[in-house]
Amino acid sequence: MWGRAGKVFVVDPERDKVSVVDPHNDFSIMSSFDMTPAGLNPHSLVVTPDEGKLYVAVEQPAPQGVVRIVELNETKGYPAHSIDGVNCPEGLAISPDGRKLYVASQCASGQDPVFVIDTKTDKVVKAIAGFAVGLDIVIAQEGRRLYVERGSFYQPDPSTGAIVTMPAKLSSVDTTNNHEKEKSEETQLLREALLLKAGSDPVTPGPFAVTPDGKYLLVAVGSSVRIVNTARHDKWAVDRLGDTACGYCGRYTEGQEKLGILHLATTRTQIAYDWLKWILAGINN
Amino acid sequence: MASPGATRHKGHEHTVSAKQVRRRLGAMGLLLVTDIALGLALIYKNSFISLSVGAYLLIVWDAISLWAGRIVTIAGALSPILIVLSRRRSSSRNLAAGESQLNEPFVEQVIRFLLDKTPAYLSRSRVSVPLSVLLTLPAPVLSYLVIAHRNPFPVPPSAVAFSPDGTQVYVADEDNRKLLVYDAQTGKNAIKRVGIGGRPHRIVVGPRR
Repeated sequence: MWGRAGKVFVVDPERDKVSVVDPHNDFSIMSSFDMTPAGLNPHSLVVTPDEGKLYVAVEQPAPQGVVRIVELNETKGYPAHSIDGVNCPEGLAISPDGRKLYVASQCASGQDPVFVIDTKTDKVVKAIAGFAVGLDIVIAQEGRRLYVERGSFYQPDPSTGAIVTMPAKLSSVDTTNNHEKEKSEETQLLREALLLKAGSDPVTPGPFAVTPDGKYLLVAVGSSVRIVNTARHDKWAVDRLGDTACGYCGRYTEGQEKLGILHLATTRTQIAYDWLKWILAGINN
Repeated sequence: MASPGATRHKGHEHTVSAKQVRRRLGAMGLLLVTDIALGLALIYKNSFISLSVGAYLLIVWDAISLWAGRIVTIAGALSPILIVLSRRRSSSRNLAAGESQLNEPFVEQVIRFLLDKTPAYLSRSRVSVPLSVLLTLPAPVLSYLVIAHRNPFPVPPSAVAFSPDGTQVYVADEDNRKLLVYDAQTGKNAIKRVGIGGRPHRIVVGPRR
């Protein structure tokens, strides 16, 4: 039997494997799934909420990797199969109900879609176009909103033919209609979240996550972490003052809600301040 | 012809000179020890910038100490401070290095965090001093990101994940090819090091059922 929940799935791109570690059995390796029949360089992975399936983004060989699926059924020998036609899959996110898998992708020459996969049939049911260069993807607001982290890329200008740089972007997608509002306040604020300083171009965001309650989007930008309230579109609060050199400049207040942004320390003074603050918080608590 | 008094004087001078020699040899020995300690600390941090700064500080302190003869103990006392400062500087430099990588396509970026509830941790990949931030949401309105442990892990993690009950932290240590298991409350000592055969890159923990 597969046993208790809480297995640890570890991607090993060096051996093109995913190992499963059992924390309930002295962290022994209970299984190891080979990705090479499908492709190379496993990159990211998700497990369905019922821990019935493992999805692995196997991004190579470019330009066509696969999403590898492993049925986590020990009695059947962990049958595996793959979903082709997903370009170079990068980030994966699964809906809270486990029915849909969203795949951020690359390698499609500036046309990288977000693929939507039905986890019952393991078929691509939709390709939401226009999300190059996909890096990672998260789901918020109980599955109603997708956030796609995208890197910068080059493409020819349709009118002049000159090669232009398309800046990095954080895209928000309404999963009820699979549309991104290009000119909404939300889009503008997500863009501002990627600015190191006013007037600069957005930088490619770093690590990316959503809090388990789905309310806050956390994005590493430069040496700061930007927090975006995903629910209150009229009260978005993002760090608009971020600058790697300004240390603790990012406290920002909007409306009735305060969001504290901690710029990860770049100065000794700030380190001391951080620790003092932490100690005081501990005393107060 | 020397008088007995002069001989005594010479003998006295000889005695004082020997003390000075011993003192200076002792000073040099202490400096050597502190230099080696600081040098190893800097090399351990693998930062060229802090190595240069550290070497410069060492030369200055050595010169002052040997000149003054008696303040070597101050230099010795300052060495730990220098080590700390160089480490802090090293961490800042490595943050900058991490940022430069963020602009590369296909860059490996990981933020796999979080507990169902606070505390929540966030880790940046490819930063030699891992960053753990504690997300606290005290009622009613304030939310803060506070650095709880600046260096809880001895290695740069490429991924961090929590056990479903939040009691353990799993860290992918690519450099040493181990999956590390930490107590989530302390985060200080790995309670288990698991070799998976290759290079652990990302981690996902099966959900709570």
